[in-house]
Amino acid sequence: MRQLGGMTTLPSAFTDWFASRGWQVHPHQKEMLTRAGEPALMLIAPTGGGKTLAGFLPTLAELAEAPREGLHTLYISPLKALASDIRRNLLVPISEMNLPIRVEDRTGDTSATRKKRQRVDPPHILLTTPESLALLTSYEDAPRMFAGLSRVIIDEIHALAESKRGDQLMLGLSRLEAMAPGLRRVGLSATVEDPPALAALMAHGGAPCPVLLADPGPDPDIAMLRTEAPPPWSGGGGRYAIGEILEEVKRHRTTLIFHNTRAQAEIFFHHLWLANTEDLPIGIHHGSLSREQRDAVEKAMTEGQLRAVVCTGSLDLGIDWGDVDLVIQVGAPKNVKRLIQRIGRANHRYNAPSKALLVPANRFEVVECVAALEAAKAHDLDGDPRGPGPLDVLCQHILIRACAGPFDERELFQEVCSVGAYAGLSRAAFDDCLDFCATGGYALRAYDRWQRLIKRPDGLWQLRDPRAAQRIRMNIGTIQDTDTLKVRLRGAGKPLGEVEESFAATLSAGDTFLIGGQIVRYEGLKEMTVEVSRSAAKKPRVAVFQGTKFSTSTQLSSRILGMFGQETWPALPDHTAAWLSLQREVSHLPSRDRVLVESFPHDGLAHTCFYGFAGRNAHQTLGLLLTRRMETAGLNPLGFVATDYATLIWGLDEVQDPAPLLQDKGLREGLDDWLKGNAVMKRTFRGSATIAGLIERNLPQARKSGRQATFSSDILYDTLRKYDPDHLLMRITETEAMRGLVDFGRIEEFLARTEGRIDHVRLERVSPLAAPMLLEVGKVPIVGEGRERLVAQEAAALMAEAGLDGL
Amino acid sequence: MTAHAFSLCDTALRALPSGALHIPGEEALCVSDLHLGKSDRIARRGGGLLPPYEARETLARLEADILATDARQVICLGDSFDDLAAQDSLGEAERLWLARLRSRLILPAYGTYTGGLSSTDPIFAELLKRPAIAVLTGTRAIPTPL
Repeated sequence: MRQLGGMTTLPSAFTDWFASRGWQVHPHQKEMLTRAGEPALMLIAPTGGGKTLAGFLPTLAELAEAPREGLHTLYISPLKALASDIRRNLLVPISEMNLPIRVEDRTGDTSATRKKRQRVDPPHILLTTPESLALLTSYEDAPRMFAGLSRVIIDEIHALAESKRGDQLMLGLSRLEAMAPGLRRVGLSATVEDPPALAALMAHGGAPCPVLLADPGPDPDIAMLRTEAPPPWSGGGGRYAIGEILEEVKRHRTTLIFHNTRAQAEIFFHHLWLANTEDLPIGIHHGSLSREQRDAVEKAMTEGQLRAVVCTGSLDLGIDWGDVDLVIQVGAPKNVKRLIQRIGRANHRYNAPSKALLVPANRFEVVECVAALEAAKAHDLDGDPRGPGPLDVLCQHILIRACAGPFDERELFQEVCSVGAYAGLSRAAFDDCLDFCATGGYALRAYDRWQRLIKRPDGLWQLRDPRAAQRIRMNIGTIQDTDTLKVRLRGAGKPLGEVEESFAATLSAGDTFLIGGQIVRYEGLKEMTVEVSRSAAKKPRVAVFQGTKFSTSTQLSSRILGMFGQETWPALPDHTAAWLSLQREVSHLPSRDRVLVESFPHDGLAHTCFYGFAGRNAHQTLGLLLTRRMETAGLNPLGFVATDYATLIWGLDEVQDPAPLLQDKGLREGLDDWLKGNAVMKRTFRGSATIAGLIERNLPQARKSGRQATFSSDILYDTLRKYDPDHLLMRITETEAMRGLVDFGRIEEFLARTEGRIDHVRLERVSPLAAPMLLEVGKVPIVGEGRERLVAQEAAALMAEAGLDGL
Repeated sequence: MTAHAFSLCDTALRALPSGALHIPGEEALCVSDLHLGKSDRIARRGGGLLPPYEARETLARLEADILATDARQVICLGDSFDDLAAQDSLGEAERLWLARLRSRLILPAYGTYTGGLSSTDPIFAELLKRPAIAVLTGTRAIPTPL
């Protein structure tokens, strides 16, 4: 039964309660009440705008007016912590107005007894996460629990939509719709670039999902932090600005200091602490810290005991932190949308501008920060269009559906197609996934007797062995660990350090890279450890890049290229404007529709720099492809470094003509060769195979450790590659890798945008724009002061060579 | 083949990169824990349906080692099959392949908590060349015809 017509007015108990607190109902909160009957509705509101209450008001009003039993509203948030936070906040109006409403949360932390009771006697409002919801729908009694469900509220839907968790959630909604037809969907989102696209993901069966835009409030007050010393030529971390940042912390009540990586946050925190002579209470918060450490910081923060928190994306989502009045972003924001969302964390009071300062970590980031500031002022947000719904998540969904009892494949197919991201799913693709779940989907041999799902004589599918349900339930979820890997000399004990798994995944045997101040040769990935041997090479082939796994967005890169086209740069600090002028004088500045390639000798080697502005992942891939092509062409490349803007390659012989190297077809062929044996694929495969239910992370009784999982998934990949290269999971893996770590799409975008218009500039010495990249090559964790001085000397000499010593 | 030659108790041995042990003086090849039929056992117990190609991959590697070393006998230590039911999982091609491989000696697991083998299992008829014997273990080793 469809519930029609929301309330146009708030029950008097509510208006009294608002008045007693001296609060006013925001216009968008009223509007949410008025339109409570809409089958789907998305609210976009700034942080602090009472967004969550706006989502809950219709539920509270409906239950106050017409008390009833059973589950009325399901609230889903990406964070467990958010669920319990919201529960506390909701209990205030409920107890003060004495409403007959029971609110409970249900996450991985909820006790088994309580969970069991919730299924028998659900509360009116249940607060949960996408994974816990998926688990709930897998029980045979799910239809009974959800039968009376009237509303679903999805909080922070913009964050969920960026990952497979969002896809899983939307598939879960289609199950809920089947059990409670006509349920109303409400999405709550921060500012996004394309609200209708986000809304379309949430709507049921292509039905419209109107977007309600709350007053965004005043524009944020964003600026670049002025520092006495100019930013360094390369590197990250923002240590040069610690003095000024500390001054800002003193000047504000509570400051959040965002970094792009955990490592940078750690290093920065260490130095900030050394400079913190007044002993201001400052904490650190990031995903690698233990749960207890994070809890302690979160608690101190909510209690207003901290003056600043150094943090990473782990603080991006909306727990109410109280009185944050300044956000500092250290390092280029890479993405304007994320910047805006982060800035929204400052000043949770409605209608007060958020205040933020950007601290570029190096000279190039000055340009990127200014471009981001301009984009933010112009409300020009970025984001890549989402691809179709991923098939590994669909496979898991089919298995979850099977746990709940026998199902009809046609009904399930229709249900899946009612989900925005899967609207275009072909029946053949669905059948592939079903076949994979049932038989493994192997070309050469099937599990005739031990199928996971079997088709009964009545045409319904069911689990062959009902005990399989437990194993499937234990492995629900799509969150992948993105951890660092230890680097160890083969056969030796002590680890040399850690690299991000995403970096390790791009290496092939024989590649050399820098770690802990020494050059090592990549031998292989073994049981979650990167095995290396000592290398006599003078320079590493692949420089470890210090940075984020995020690439600078296409839109922001395009803005930077646009800025390069300006006659003068009044918005840039003098030192940066002079740097660009010098580059224009001795070479060219890159532009949107031409490729700039510079060749110059340096340190006895031929260097060539390709400015693609295609983002870090794409430039890393480009480096691997170009060096292999140069190898074939007899140019003896020795190594390369990739940044968000360019790939710099050095070798024994000069590149005379870069055009053939950049031919699309050849690059693609190279990609194929390189890709198949590369660990990028194995890593991507592991993720998809785990989600699709081929590899089980958790087993009943014995828990399989992570290292065993990696070990065996690599063997599975190699086996499939040899015996069944067209297997569904191999196809999924390729699609994912091309979009993700390989990012070939952006190489193609860059080649298409420039259409072979290449400006090859041959120089006597390093160009001003390329000089900082040479410093990236030597990027190492500094050991001791002496080394630091040596590096400083090398940097000074290099800058003088590029004519940059005065800037 | 890049093998590591060493000597143990005065017997010359070669550790092959594949994980097999070559005993040149005996013209023997020794391998351990083939675990044939592992994917089948996992599937049977309701786990993931792993690529069911491990038996042919294992046998292909074993055959390559046999050819490379010209071994006349193969000694399979430990768990040749993942469990007793795993024999049924072998496809026709794998069965024939196994039968083609040479004389072999199959040892039961030695560890205190590890299970033994049933010598009456029909798989042995396929695995072993005639005449074959089973050695019953216990207080004495008693050879019996199989």
